[in-house]
Amino acid sequence: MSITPPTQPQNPHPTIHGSQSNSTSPQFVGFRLANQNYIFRIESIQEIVMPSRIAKIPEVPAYVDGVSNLRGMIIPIVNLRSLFNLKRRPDDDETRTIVVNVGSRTIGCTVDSVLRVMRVPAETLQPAPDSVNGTGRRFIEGFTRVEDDLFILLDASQLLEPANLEQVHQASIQFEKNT
Amino acid sequence: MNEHSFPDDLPADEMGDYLRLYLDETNEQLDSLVEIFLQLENQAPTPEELNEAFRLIHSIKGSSALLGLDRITSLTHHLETHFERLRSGKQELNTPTIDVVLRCIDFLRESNQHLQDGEPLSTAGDLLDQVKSLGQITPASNAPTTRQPGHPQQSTEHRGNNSSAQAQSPLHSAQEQEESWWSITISVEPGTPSSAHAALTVSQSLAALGELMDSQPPQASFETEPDLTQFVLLLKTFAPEAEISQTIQTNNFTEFSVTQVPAGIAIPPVEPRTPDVPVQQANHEKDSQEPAKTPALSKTVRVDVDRLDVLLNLTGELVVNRARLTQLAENVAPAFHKLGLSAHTTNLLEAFRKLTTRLAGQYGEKAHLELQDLNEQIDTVENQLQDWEHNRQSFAELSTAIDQLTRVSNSLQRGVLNTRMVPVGPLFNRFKRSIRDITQELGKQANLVIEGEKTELDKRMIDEIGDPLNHLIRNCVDHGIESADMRIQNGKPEIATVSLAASHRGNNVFIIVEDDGRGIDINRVKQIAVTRGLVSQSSADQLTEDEVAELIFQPGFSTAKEISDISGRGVGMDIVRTKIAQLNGTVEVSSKYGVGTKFIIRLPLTLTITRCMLFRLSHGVLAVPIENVREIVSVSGYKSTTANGRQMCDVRGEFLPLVSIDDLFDFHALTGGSGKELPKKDLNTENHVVILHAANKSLGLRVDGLLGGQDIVVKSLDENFTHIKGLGGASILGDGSVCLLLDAATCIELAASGSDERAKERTAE
Repeated sequence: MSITPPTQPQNPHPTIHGSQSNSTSPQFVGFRLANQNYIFRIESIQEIVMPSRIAKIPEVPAYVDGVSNLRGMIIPIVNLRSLFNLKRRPDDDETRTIVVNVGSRTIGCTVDSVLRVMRVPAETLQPAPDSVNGTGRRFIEGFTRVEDDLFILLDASQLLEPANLEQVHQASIQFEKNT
Repeated sequence: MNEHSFPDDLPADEMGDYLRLYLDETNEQLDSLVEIFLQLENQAPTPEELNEAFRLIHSIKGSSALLGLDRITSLTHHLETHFERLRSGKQELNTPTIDVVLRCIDFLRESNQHLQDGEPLSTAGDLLDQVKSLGQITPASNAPTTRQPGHPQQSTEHRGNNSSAQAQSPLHSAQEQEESWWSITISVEPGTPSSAHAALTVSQSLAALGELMDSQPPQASFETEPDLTQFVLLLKTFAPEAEISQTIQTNNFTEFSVTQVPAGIAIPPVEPRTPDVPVQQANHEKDSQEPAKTPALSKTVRVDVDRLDVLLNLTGELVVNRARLTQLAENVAPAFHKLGLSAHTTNLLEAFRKLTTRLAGQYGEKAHLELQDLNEQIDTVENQLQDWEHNRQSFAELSTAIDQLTRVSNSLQRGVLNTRMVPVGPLFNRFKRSIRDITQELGKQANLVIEGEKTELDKRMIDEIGDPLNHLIRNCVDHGIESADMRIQNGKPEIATVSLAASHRGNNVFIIVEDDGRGIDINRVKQIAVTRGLVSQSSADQLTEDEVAELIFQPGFSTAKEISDISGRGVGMDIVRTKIAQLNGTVEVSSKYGVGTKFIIRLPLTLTITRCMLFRLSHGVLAVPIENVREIVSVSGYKSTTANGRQMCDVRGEFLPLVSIDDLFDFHALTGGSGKELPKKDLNTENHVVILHAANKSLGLRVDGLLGGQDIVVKSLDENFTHIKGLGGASILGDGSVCLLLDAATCIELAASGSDERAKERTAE
């Protein structure tokens, strides 16, 4: 697994080191998407790779960029910005593809940047607030605060399940309308 | 009887190995058996055939007994007994017998399936009774009650923890109370310590039940017998058979047979390898089987198809990587191939050196240091030039190495493909049986003619193609073939012919299923298609004969008036086409009314590697299987016309629909990753059009460039994502990029439906 070096200066606060030293806490991979921090559970992630050439495929929603060659395996690439109905932006040095195992499938998703692997004690994870509506609740597992940053915990395998993608997209559009 | 409980002394996984071996072996044996029987049905049995049938049944019995599959052993045992009678001419083979035997074969096949799925075996029940009664109904044999010396007919066999199903032999109860003579054959496991002692003990125990009349070899010589593998005892006793068996079992003998024999008989001398004596079969099968198996094993290895799949995929990757290497080398080659560069630079350096020497002479001490510095630099460049020259030579070697790799990887690919190839013969022969069953069921008469059974096809393909073929053959008989009266009226031979032929052409295998029946009634097909709403009346009138015949592959089309067991569920031909399409093959039909129908199935030699033409499009690279590319033409704007809302192109007078990739697929060209609008193509310029061809239909597709042919390893898109209609998968090219594989047949459909919609829109306006 190639994890990119943290793009944000590592926090020197002892609290985080305290939580990191607790080796029983679950591990998460943090990433950024349009000024918002998210985390995936590390178990759901296969690897993180640099974006590679994508072949466009037809008859798929716009948030599916196409397919890519991952060491001989052809995997679909979902653009998370597009899926969440955020403005797309061109790839840059920090753009990464997180490869996720969804059931028996392997699916890649493009994010703005990958932050770091972090341990978050289970007790600091809070369930999604009531304002998150029904559909959103299926994909948003909860929230956590590390230092002053808020991280949204997403259920990667639910989120990227091909059958769920359209629901996620619609929920994002709905969410934007409401706020 | 307990379901297949295995002997306890074998570890479970080892048992699994044996079971697999058993299944592979018996399935083949059952195939051979069916073939023999279908032959026997039509012609008088020859001793060879009967012997062969006997041998096969016997071998199945032996193998099943080894695995403790009691139900199979007991059924095959009785079959064997019956065959012994057929073989020795005591009874004649008749149709009821063949029916029963075929049903037994069905049962055995079913049992094999159960074993494979790990399900318990079902009981043979009434089938067993039928087999047993075979010997009694036929008058050719002597009544079972009169026994002939040396040919005991009621033989009962026990093995291991076997219970007593056979003990219910019909005659058993009648003779229970009389003093009977029993011939008891007991086998000694080779290598058992103190076997002679054990043999003596069991003899004495048996003697306690009655009177021991004879022993072969004589009891006295038990000790001196060099390898005592079996002995026969003749016992006169009032004790029932079960008691005898029990006595033997309590003496720790597991392999034995107890047979009632006429009084006063003497034991024939022991000849373990004479198959005519059923009493000894239980034992000699063990002896005869091992040597028979060994030579076969040394020649062939049974390998799981999944393993071969992995191997084939890896080979495919190797071929693709090799292609990439070749491409990289080609990219670098121009830099190294400039021979002039080296010479040029050498000359230049030489000139510099001369210049510095002259300058040194002119300016002397003044410029000495600078010139020396310059000279040193020239030396460095010269050294580097030598290195470069050296590398250039290495590069030439690299090309040779790549060439070699190409050769090896190509041979490897061919080799791996070859390991998967099996002849279609056994598959085809299976249909002899289907034909027999269907014709009997429908009261029709038909012969199956098989051609090209040596043609080889990928094992996976063989496994998958069985069902569609079966359906086609059933359809031929059910719908195609007329009744015998009608055939005579039409001046055709009374017995119809269904032929099944395989042939190898290029990278394809063709399987042709043909009948000489009534052919497809075009008008009826049209009428039905219109009533079922598959086509409109107006479009039906425009269809050519072949196009009408194509309609039978539409989902929901069925011409059968009643739903029968054989065909007519209205799913058949549709499923056949889908199934064959899954194998990257095609099926086409051609028919002549009153003469016959012909189905032509084309299959690629292998599933994973496809020969394709590659095309460049604005969206990327597109691959089309080479057999779907009819031709590539240049169509300039003026040659394409618009008719009825469809763009058409004129290819040598033939008007074909012309589309661009965006007419077929929505690529989100405006919202896609690049975000920039694609320039509208100028229709007036010359452009390449590839003519796709599938299922008798053609379609022109505009492409931006031609990239040539290539073998590609097809990967499915559904594996990690979803199926996309019109795409057959994707593949990785030599440069590591992904190209999409077009499914020509679906594209032609898409183009047709797309233009229909556009035409509708037009009329709506």
